Amino acid sequence: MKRLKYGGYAGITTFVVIVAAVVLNLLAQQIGWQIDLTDTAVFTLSPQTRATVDGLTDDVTIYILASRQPVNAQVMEVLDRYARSSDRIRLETVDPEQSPGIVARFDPDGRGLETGSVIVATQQAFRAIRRADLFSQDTTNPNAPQIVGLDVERRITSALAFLAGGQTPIVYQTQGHGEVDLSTAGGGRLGEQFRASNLELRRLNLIQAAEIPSDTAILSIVRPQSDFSPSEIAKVERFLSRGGKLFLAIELAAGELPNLSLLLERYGIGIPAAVVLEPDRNFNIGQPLQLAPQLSDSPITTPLVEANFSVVTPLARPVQELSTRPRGITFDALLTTSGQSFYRSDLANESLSMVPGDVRGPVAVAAKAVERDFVTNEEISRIVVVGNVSFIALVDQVSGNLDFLLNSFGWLEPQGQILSIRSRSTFRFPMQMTGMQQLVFAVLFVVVIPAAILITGFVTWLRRRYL
Amino acid sequence: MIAILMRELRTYFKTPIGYIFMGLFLLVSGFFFTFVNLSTGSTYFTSFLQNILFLYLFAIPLLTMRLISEERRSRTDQLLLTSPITVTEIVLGKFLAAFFVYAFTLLVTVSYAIVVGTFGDLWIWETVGGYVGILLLGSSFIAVGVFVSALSENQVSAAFFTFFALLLIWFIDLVKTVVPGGPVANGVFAMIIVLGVAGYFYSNTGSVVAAAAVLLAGTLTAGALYIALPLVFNRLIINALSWFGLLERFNPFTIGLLRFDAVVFYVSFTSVFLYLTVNVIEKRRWA
Repeated sequence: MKRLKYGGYAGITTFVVIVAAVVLNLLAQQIGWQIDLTDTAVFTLSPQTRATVDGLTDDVTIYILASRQPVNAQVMEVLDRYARSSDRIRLETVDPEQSPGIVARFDPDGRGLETGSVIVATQQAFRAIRRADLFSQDTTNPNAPQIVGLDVERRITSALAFLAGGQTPIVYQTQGHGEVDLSTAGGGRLGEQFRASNLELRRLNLIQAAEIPSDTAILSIVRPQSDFSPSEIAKVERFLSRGGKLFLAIELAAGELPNLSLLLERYGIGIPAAVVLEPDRNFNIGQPLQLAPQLSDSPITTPLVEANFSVVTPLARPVQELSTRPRGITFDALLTTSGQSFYRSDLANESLSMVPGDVRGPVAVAAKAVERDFVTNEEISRIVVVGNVSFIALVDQVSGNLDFLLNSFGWLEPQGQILSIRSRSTFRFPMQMTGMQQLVFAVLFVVVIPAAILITGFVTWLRRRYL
Repeated sequence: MIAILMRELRTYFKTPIGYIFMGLFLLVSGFFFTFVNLSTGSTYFTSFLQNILFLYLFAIPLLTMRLISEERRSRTDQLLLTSPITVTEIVLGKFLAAFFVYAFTLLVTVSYAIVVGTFGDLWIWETVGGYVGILLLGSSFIAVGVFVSALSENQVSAAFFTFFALLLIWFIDLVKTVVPGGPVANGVFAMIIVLGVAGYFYSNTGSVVAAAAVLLAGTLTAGALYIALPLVFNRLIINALSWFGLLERFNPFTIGLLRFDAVVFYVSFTSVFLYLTVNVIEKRRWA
């Protein structure tokens, strides 16, 4: 009877304890609290994502293609954040071998959706994101590309914004002066980056067009090799006067561009045909012409500072603040060289040191300006001017260049339609140690500490063995 | 409890066992740190913590093997059980002693992180999270070891069975990928569980009626689950195995996430095993 009483009691309490533990765990899973301990907030959704998710009116399923190989844990965690952030979003893992219909539905062209790819779909539409696009890579060494960040949030939020039917701001790129087409730059990768940021790129020939289209969010002039005609400048001026936004990148080889210079004077900006040299090794990448300028404190550059990114601008020309600036204009340098730098108008002189006639820095190589009505203080127009085009060709190799370019467009069109979400860096700088330091620590950790403990144990045993 | 804790801590360091555990643990982890981080310059410190996990298979049995089995072998358990302290206090004291030795050993490895932080870019909070995870994981392993030690009278067999229990937990994720699904397999599994619980009740009470009642109640519950929640029922084996997926829940800690559900899981897992240990010892009083 005693055994029945105690045994029954023990059995029932054990059962209750196990059930309580199971229930407690189920509750904890439902609550889903977590703390993101990463330095770059890899697993924290940005306010822009939250706004996009809150604005969803249709149910969305995020499919992740997974076979026997487990999906990258970081990718899964970010996707899980989306699923937890809204009742409208459901996360589903699909094995393409067991469900070939899924792949056929979302990859009708048969371009191939490899394991690890993600599909964001509603009943009506979908967007497929390839596995490689979920990460940002440093391809400086093409033989050994290195993953340096996670790009999941930007890709997924862009897809959600697209599926939610939000507006896609249109960037018109001028043509007819030998300009670069951003949609095909970098083998089309840059165009993909613009699409991922919810920007549509279109071309525009200012000579043929009567006016700059009314649906233009941003006018982009990248690498004009010849000057604009006065009638083209007049169209740009009219566009800016009615609240337009302009992105302008000019290379050194373009030389003097009197009409464009005249346009920029309206914003108190000068673009002398000169080359900037930076002898300070902290602000170049091994050569005075290869600038890695200082990043200012601005909405465009601060995110780069926080992510420890640099912007590399080879063969840059100055973007000066003119001494006579029209009223209502605010000028802010974005990229600035050091006090040791200088710029040279005599381009025939190949000396890398300062020579008579050179102008001492620091000097800006990129700047932004805002035009306001000086009576009402209402904003009229915005422009970003970069005295360099080569940085665009480097967006694949230098993550900071891509972010600088996209952040510039994001600042120009601040209506929330352009995603300001950037890749979250997961890169950490490796340890810088001399061979001797490595050896000392290796001996300390592998020999000294374990041996000291084991010898102490042996001595203890010797002393106490007869006790 | 404090008296038991202090006594056990003294035992660890008056015998070679504590030194052997710490020395070997730090020797192997030192090797890993040297080859994974120092030689490559890698500052991904949580990957080091992940790499040393396999060490636990061998280190934890060493730490827990004698905790309770030695008391039984030397018959000192009779003294403990008749003393004024409760069995819960005894088990907690022994568990905490093992945990403190383990935590102190891990504390030495913080010096590795300091080296990484001094010479490279260490994500401090991610590293702190990694240590929280590895402490929780270690406490769960120690709880399993304490439980196995309570079942055994022999240190070596306690170490041996703890090793196999941890090995089983190690491969649980792999096992999950090959278990059969569907109502038949899960039905058979449910009946095995019910039979096991009924057998446990019979061994505890010696009453066929009590065991039959449990068998009937369990069968009816399984049937109700099959009808009411077929989706849950069809994943019964996988869900049951998931409760032992200790390593799977450690992964978020290594990527910089401190998950509340993982913390709750480890704490409850440890608590359940300590509770089972208390039950095993208590049973000797009245059985």
